[in-house]
Amino acid sequence: MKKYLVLLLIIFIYGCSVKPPSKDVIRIRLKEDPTTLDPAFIVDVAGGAIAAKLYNGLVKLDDKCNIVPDIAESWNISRDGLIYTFNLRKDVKFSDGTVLTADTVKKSFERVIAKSPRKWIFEKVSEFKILDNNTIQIKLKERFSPFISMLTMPNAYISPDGKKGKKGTDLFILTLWEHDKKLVLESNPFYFGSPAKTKKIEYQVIPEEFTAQTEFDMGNLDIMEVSPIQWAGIIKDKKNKAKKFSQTGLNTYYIGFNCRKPLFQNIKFRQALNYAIDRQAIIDSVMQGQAEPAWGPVPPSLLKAVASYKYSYLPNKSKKLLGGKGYFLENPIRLYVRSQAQAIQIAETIQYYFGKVGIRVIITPLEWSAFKKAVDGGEADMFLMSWWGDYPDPENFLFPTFHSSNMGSGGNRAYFKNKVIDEMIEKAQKELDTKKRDELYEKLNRCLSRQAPWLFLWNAKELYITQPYISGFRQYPLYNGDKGTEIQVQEKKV
Amino acid sequence: MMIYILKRLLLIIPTLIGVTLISFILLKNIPGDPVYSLVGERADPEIIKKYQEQFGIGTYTGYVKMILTGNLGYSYYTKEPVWNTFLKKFPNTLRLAIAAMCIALLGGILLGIIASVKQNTFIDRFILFGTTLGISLPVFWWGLILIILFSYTWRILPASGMGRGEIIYLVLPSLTLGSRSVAYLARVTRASMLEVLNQPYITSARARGIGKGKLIMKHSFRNALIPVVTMAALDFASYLNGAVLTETIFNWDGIGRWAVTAIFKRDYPVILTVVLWGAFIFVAVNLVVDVLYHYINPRMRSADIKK
Repeated sequence: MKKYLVLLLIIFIYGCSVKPPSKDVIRIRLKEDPTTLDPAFIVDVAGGAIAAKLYNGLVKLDDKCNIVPDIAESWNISRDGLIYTFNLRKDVKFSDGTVLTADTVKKSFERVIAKSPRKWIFEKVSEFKILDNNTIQIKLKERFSPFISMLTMPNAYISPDGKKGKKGTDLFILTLWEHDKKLVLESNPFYFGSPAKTKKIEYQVIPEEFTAQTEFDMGNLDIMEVSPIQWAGIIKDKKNKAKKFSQTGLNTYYIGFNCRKPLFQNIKFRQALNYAIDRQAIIDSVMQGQAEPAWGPVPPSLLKAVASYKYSYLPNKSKKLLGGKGYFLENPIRLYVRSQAQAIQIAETIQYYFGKVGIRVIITPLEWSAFKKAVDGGEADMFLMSWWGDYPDPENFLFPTFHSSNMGSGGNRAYFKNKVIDEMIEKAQKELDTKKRDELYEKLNRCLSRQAPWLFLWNAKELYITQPYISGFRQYPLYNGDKGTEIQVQEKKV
Repeated sequence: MMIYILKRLLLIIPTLIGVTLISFILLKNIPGDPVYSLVGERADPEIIKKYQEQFGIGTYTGYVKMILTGNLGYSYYTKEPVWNTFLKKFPNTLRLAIAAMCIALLGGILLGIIASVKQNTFIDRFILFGTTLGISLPVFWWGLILIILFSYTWRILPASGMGRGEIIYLVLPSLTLGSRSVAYLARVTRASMLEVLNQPYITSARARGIGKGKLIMKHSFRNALIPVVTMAALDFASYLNGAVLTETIFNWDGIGRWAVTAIFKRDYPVILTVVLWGAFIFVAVNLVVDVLYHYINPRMRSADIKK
């Protein structure tokens, strides 16, 4: 008996010895298993962020959202804006040693058109023409200025066969993927540039916030994204040595008005609701101050000048617009939200503010996919949502969300229809002159702000913490900006 | 006996048909659609329709046909056969279930016996109080407290995950999962021991001068065992279905956590498989318990022979 006890004790102590963090591996928390790592099918942020480290596109983004060379070392756009000629690097190899040529690029793009739900990236393309082994020409049916920006999306990464992330050209190769548990990325010996500073990145799938926070505090995670509430807790805790990063992301939180319903066809009604809420107060309470109030659909960082039309908290003006002392509705308005703590909190404050100008609101929480189905189908009166950029062009916040050709699942969930706005969006898409385009976008942002098909809420900040010994971590406006080049474990933890 | 077991085995079939039918109807009617997470933003209606055809839940007869041919379908997300994933995750759930059951049986029975023997003393009251607490505390709360104490504050046990399968990773999850069973089993053991201890044959055994230890273990406990076995077996069955809360808090890669993520993502083939498995386990465990009764309780054996 004694022998067994000793044996048990030994096992116990052996198990107890916590391994010190290795210098060569960066451990990042993932909230959920990525849906897929086949570039053609990636539609989620987790998948896109990991794919960014496995694949290259023709072009990529730097940390200020400029479009810079990746596989294409240079490119040229014809004067009429219809022909894009890309000169490819000659030294690009896949992780199995095969060489990337113009033909691979063509096949890869054609695969997206044939199979991907994001085939709209190449919607305007009429032809891929291979000029030689390292030159490819993309011909467009019509002028389309956001095209080059769209080529930075994960779906436009070069991968002729998908293969679940096993065959890419970038800094890392996927060496292990245990679904719902972890993914391991190791440096790719065939990468054309200088290798990443870390040899290995390990993603750990930890859905529970509390569990992730504990693991981070115990030193078992190096980098993780945190919620505003977690963030507030970390700031308050003076002993917490974690490095903190906060940056406003390319997103707009909003309450969409279903403009097909008679009530919301009245522009004054929509404007009144925009005046009815105190954005800053909601940000300070629910979002713990981690957002910037918004007055238009396009995040200010994408515009050259910030919209002048501003919705301050003016309950009296709101009441006036509603026609006198308040508004009488026979039936309360239904606000659809995703059944998730923060969303419901936001909805409840909105309900309170609307109540103050005399508008009764009923909150209808639904599970995510059911919520999306109801909203896409035009069933909801109002809905709380956020729109996140896929590529850094204001067009991304205008065409899908407000053009009448995209009603419903296309992105225009407000079922907004306005001929003038439609024409302006199309004009901006076709405008090649950057300055004129910027002006058009600003004008559009202003017009839409005044039209108010949404109740504009805020642009949320993205919050990250890293261990003090991690260096080279940087925030990017878009989730696929970080290629994992600079991150490394700098000094050993004491 | 054999006929009895055969009869019971045959009864599994209608039970499973019922369970699959009900779960199928439920899934068919709950709101939500996996397609919306698969196509992402800006998908045109045409693509949504195409995906809906590909990832539809199909018909019930089609589903039954699939089960009968041993094909449980493919996960919409990982595109892997559900059965393969199940085989990967089940050993984890099994490990956790066994560990939790060991804790529950050891702790529960021991506490129950002590309480019954020391009836109405301070120890008895203390155990009763503790078990009341154990039953009323939610499992997730208990789990969080254990993590804060053992992992965060004292740093002696890992907070989550499974490591490379070291036993140490099993300690907190199994303590959490087993805690409620410990409490229940202790109460049931105590009650049923007290009933037995008041029987005349125990008094006569005591009069015959049989030692206290033998009296408790051999003469009383064995007879008090039946309700305990029933309880323990049902708990074990529910553990084998995956302990949803415990597995989620401790990031334990088992059936329970798998089922929850599948439900959120509307991964229908996975959900149906887990439900089917759950039904099967309960039926099977009930059968095993009934057979066990025959060995523990001779009275039931004779009743069977008379039949």
